[in-house]
Amino acid sequence: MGRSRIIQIACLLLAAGLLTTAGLLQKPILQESEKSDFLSRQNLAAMERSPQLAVLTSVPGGLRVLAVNYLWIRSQTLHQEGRHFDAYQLAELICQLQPYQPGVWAFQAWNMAWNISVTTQTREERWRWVYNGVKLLRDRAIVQNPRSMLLYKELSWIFFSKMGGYMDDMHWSYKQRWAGMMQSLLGSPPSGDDLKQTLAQETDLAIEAFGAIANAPLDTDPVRWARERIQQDKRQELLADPVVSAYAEKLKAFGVDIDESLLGAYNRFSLDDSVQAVRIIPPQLKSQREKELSALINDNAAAAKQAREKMLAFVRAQILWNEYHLDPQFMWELMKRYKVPLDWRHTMSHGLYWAAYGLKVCDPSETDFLKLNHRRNVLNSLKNLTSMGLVNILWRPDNPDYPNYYESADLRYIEPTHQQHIEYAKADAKLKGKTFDKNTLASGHVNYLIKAMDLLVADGRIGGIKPKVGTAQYYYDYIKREYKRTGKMWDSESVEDFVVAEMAAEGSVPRYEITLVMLKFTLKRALVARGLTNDEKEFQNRWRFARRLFNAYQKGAADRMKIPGGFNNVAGNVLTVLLGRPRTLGLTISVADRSDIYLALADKPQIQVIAYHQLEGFLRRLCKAGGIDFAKAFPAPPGLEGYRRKLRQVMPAANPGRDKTK
Amino acid sequence: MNSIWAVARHTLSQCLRMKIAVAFLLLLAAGLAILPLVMTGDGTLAGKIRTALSYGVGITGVLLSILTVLVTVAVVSGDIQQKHIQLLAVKPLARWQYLLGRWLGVVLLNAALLGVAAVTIYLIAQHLRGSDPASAVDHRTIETEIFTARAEVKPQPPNIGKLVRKRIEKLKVDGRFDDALQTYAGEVDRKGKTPQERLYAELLKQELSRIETAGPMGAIGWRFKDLDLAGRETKAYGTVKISRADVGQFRISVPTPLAGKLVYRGPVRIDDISGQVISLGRDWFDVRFGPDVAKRQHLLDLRKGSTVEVTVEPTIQFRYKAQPTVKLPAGKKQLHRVLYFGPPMGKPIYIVAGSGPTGTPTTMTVPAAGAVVDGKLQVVYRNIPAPPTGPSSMVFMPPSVRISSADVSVLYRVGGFEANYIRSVLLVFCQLVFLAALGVFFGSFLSFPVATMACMVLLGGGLIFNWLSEAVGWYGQGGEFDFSGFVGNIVLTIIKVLMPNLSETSPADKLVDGIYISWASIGWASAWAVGARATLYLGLGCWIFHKRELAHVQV
Repeated sequence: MGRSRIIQIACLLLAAGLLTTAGLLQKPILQESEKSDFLSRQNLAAMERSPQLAVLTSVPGGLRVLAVNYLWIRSQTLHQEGRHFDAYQLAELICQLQPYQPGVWAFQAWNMAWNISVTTQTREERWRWVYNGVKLLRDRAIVQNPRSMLLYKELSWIFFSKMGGYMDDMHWSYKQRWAGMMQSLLGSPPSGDDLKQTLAQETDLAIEAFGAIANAPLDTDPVRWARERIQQDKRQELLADPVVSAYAEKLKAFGVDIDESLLGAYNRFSLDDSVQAVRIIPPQLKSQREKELSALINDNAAAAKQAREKMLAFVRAQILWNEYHLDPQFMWELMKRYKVPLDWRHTMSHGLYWAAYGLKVCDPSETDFLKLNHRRNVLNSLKNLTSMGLVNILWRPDNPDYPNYYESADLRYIEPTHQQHIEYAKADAKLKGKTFDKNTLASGHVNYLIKAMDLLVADGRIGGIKPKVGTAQYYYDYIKREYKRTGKMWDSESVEDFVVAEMAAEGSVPRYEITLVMLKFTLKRALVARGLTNDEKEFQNRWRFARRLFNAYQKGAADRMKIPGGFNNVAGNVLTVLLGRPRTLGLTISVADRSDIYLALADKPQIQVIAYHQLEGFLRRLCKAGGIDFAKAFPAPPGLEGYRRKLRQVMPAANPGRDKTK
Repeated sequence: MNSIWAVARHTLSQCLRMKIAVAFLLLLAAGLAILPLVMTGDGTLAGKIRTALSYGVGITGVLLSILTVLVTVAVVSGDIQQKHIQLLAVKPLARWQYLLGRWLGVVLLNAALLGVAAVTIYLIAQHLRGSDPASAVDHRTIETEIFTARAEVKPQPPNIGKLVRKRIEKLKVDGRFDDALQTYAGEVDRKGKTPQERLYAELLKQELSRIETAGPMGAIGWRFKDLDLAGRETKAYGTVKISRADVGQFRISVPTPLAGKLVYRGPVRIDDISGQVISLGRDWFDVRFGPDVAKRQHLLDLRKGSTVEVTVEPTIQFRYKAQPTVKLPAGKKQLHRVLYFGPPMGKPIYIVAGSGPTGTPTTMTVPAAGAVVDGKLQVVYRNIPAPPTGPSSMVFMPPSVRISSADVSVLYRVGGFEANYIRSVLLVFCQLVFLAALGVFFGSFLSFPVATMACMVLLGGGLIFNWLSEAVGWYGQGGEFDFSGFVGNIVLTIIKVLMPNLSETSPADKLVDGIYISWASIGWASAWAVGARATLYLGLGCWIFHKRELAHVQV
């Protein structure tokens, strides 16, 4: 056998060996592909939708690695030079060249949302980069890798920490912008305007209201995502209802179709609470055509109302899915699961959505480390919704993209968050073979419940010997029983004592903000009890507790952290907010009710005087508009002139004109 | 000369018939056609225009470079391989004339293709310029940072040598000089520096750090000279839209490019009368005149519809990159500062306070009037704490900030975009001229595949030279000798000699930043970086070709 022949046989054998190896590897590769959803319908649809992606993943062949390297270097060099004009483009290219690497997508999104954004100077630029990060994950990465836990975690984290947190210099502008976008789309959720309504009833109302959107005609097959802004077959389905089609015909005459134009017209002209709640001035009607359209939008005949609600729910569901990639059914499911009135204008609600959605879609094993992180995101979102889940916004005509935005605590989240904690803690303890009180989430759980107790005590939900679920005493007992907490503080006579002791405890974190929130809650409760529900006992209890809280805090706080102005000043300011901007406290109160609250404090003119001084002009206008006699509704409190004189002495620079007259 | 020209013309027509040339031509046309459709930039119009310019010039440069190499090598080595050269050899045509003709033909082809591509990119950019900008800032950026040509002036270097000598004198006076020297005497220096040299280098580093760092409430200053702002005003005619002559206030509509050059609260002249811009729109601005000036009859006569000459005073853009000396928490990249602009030794004319990002270049625009005197300017950066945000908020001292002189510059408009664009295209052309010479050289003695590969390796090396030189080091991480680094450096040195640094001569970065490309830089590129090497390659190619035996006599 010649040398050439031997080489030929060796080559043949080698080829056969390689072929066999490739054949053997084929099965695990296919299994892995299926497991990772490489060959899912969603992936194929994404490929079909983006020919660029198909080209980039196949044409460069072996040069793909070189191209990726070059693009990484270019993106990093440009970033270091502070030149970000094509950063989004580069990030997209890099990701599209390796579309099944979730780490790459996550890094690029993180880079835009966290690194590039903070190098810009205006809030608009900042928002653009933060939202670019969201869009890259939500609209591109997750479409390619629908079962990647990492991507859902990153997306949830941007909503939770970047937009919802307080570390970024411009975090308020993100909250405002997002709230504005969601307000335009969904409107305000039904609010607890009726003071006699229980919190549970309010929650049911909010959940029920969202049900209309969740059940609107929508096909959530991933293949159809974002193919059309409004799914035409579903639109036809909606129009099959003769009541809807008749109303739609009328709207068409004004150029309003079943799409964003309907939302535009509704937001502009509707007098429904969900829109009125954020307006500063009523809609201005400039022409006859606008008057007619406004009349149609506000037509409250049963048929028109029913048709309008169906159409609005349909458009909202379509845009939620096709633009924001949010599944209305799952949004509703979350609200029902936790029995909470999730306000989708709050970024934390979206942090919760994406973490929970990731857990649902990826269904990871208990041992997956990312699962614990996801659960933390779910819990942290719920915790933050407890302390600031109640959103109130006011449109600013001068800057509609950035409405005035207020957030405050919402006690309805306490019990669901507690229950979710228990569920995750039990699973963790079981997995690690520990007792319940030693679970990984224990510290977080206890700290959360202590904070919840602060809020509950402030709101007068204390509980007695046999405390009900949702009262401070109930959670206090729970911690002692399940987490076996002992010590002086845990042997307090009452939960109120515990809260005050904990406030003044050595080594406790600076609690300026928490104390102010608690004072605000307690005093609001007191003022409402006396002014609106005539519950003098409740007023006295709350008032006394507020004083105690204030004194305990002032005693323990460093000089620079003391609350300025004394207790009366705090109470006066809470009254000012209650009379001037009750919505920021989660209440809508008529002028007559405001007057009742004010008049009920006749024995505390030192409190009245603070609110009167600040709100005189505003309340005068409010009374005039409502045909109420201002002098009777809000009589000037005794000592007003003295108070004003004192103010002028303290702040002469702020009032130079008056100083000259002295 | 006629012979060369004849070969060049033949080469040009031959190239146009080649499939590969047609393929690249189509690729280039497709690339430029889809450019405005796929380029999104960062969401702003400025970003989109920058991306279109950068990618447009980049795609054109790369595709034409590859085409040049392939075509040049193909025509020269192809003639030899297919023995067409033997037909030419018997004609009255010197071999050097043949090679020069081939080179010239490819250069002409490049000139034509580059011209068409350049016009296309320019039209795309101008088309995008006419779109609606995302914001007023976006509009300003387009007009003052892209469609312009700005000179960049670096600050005067501080006399650090003098400061170091003072430190050494002080060490000697204190009797600590020998101790300091002793610290370095014990260490082995791989580069063979003496202890004195190393001590000097260390002191130099310390002094530089000291003068480039501002502690809390501290300041850093820079002086600039030779700012040639004379006659840099921009003029255009505008129309009075709203006249409130009684209070000395007018709204004037002007062409969009001019409106983009105005600065809020900056000076502007209307029919040579100085006023102040108080409000700005995309194609209009509001101007207010001082009480005395407003009484002038000429202003009182201005009515709605009157045509006025608007003169925009030159502005300067101060660019710097501040680095905090400690790591800031996530999301806290902004630091507060006050910037003072004024003539050296004089009172500051403009004071700009606020916060600015760290770790990334920041640009501030201020009017030049008053601040720049006799071409001189002084800028001072003061590092201040953030103002308190409420009664309970605390004032934290800011971290120290370092601003390297290399990261500081002043920019001002010295010309228009069009002329700058033409110069940038000429720079690309210079590169193509060189690559044609390279192709001729390798094609004259190597076969098509080998010559192409040699050219491509060098072309790639030239394009990513900066990155390669950063990536390849002589020493490993621990300071030990690294063999692969050694070999890599030798390869780099070879590339450096054989190739101009194409990443440095590329005009795209300057173009998208509106940085003035001087004739001097083109002269340098054409004469030395590219010209000399091209001549050398052509000369060598001619010499090798002249000596080469084109046919073997077989008996």
